[in-house]
Amino acid sequence: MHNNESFYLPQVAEVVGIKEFSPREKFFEIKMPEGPLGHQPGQFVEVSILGVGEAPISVSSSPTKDGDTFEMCIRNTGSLTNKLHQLKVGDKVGIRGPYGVGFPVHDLTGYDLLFVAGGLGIVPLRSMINYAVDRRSEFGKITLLYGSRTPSDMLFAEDIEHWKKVPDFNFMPTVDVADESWGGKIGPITRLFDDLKFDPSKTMSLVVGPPVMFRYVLKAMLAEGIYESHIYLSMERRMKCGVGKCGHCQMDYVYVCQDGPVFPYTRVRNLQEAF
Amino acid sequence: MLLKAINKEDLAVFVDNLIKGYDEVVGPVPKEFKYVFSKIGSSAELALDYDSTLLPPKKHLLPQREVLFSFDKADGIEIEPNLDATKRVIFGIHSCDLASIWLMDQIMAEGNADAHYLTRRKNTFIIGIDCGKPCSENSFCKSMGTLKPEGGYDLFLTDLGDLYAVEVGTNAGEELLDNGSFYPASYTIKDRFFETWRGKLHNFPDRIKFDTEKLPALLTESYNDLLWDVLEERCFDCGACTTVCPTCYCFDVFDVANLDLTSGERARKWDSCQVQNFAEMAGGNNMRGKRSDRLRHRLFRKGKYFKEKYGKFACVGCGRCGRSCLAKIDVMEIFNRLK
Repeated sequence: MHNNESFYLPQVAEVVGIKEFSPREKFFEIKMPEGPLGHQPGQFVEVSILGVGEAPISVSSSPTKDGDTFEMCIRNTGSLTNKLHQLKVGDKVGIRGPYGVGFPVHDLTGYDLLFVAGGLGIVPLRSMINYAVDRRSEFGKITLLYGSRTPSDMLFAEDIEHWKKVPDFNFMPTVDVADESWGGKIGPITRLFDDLKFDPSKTMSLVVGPPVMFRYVLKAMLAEGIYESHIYLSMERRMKCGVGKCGHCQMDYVYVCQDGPVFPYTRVRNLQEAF
Repeated sequence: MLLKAINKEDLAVFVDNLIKGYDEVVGPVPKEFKYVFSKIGSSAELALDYDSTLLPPKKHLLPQREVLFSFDKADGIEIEPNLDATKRVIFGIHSCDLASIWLMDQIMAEGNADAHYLTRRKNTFIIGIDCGKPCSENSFCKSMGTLKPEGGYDLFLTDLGDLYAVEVGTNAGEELLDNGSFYPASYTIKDRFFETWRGKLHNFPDRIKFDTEKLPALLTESYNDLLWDVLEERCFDCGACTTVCPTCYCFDVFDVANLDLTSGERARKWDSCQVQNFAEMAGGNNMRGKRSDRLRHRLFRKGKYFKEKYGKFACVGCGRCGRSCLAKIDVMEIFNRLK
């Protein structure tokens, strides 16, 4: 009992870049006051505007990225994210973290990677996708299944164009509702498994999406022969403190902010409140 | 164990010396027909024969509302942490509440240490007192293993009629002794002390009708039991149970802006896993959207999760939740139904 440093104190970071991805989603590039954030792919930060509030947000960039900034993609969905959307380059935000357990990058090396992203699930997955792309030689084949509601809901268009040019990177999108511009697959993300060829013993799957997606995607993946022990997923919960105290993110006995947000599927498959 | 004694007529001087020597002394005082832990100005205010208090003493370690830091954005961004280092004595805590403080200490110190709790805790001296007899029909401390304190106090007083036997739990407790006329407990006093405790352990009923070591397994088996659905029909979602619980510590974090809109504070306040939006996320997903989910989650925390992690139940059997529930939902009854 000798720690006098309060972990609730945010660092004051600067917004150095903003892109508008859609009317609902904005992309922020953030510079910490002292050097890089020092995160692992899949970790999160607590983002705040003093006087408005604080929320857990996934880090969307890879630590392998050039420069000492990090990136987040934020949907405007509540009072804090609404204020975040009004920020301009040069404005300040509070950052705590990085927190939680990210993707096990060292355990994944040497394997083929199968990314399964539903909706906003692409946001935390991008940190790991870019990590693998930046260290291309350390990983086998990369496949990204990406399901969106409509073509205009697809995020990271620039990244996608870049990923398509990466050797042995197979990008497979699908949408629930197509428009005239869409020439690809239509239907749930599980439909993409029909065209998927993979070697189960050599493939690690990384799955992020809304709770409803986990339910049917995991079922379909196991039916396709993917090993349970080769699946990692990232769970979204309401981490208020980020450090295992406040109780909001607790599912069964697990604090998602401490033991997750990235979990091996084998760790959470029997938790009653996971899916 | 260092055992001291103090004559009853000397206790008032001890308490008044503490009031003079420390920033704040808190103890049980009457409030209407009940008791509360409150700051006292004189030993005469203490009601050491109290049965139980409305709220546990946790509010003096984890206040209902607590400022974490204040900020000012007028000239750059200045952030000032708020740590409460008041030298505080909490006097007269019963063994059930001592067990809860022990548990809270583990939780707050584990992993990322909570500086706000721990600063307050480090500067707080805890003097427990033996409760003597069962405080109500809702209490089941003996079944939960909290009847005899195993630590978590600096001093612990046991009433032996004309004097108190005083167990010294820590070095800090030994220093507190300088404030009063304590003397070493003689063999006779020690014998009376042992006898009193033997009698007490015998006089308290075993209100849980099975060996509570089986509780985690029984809860696991009950996960899909209709019991939770039946309780859901009665629960009002009010959160009274978590408010009065000595081991409930969940909190909400929020900002308050001052009228100038450039300064303000970030604070936390007690929250309750029993209220509907506790686990709700931005998109509206809620892993415990039903009252039965939330009731079960609370009972699993109390009777299973903490026991499996820390070796102790997060229910100390104080009975406050059963007494304060409008719908008369009683943890003791629920545990007994599991068998």
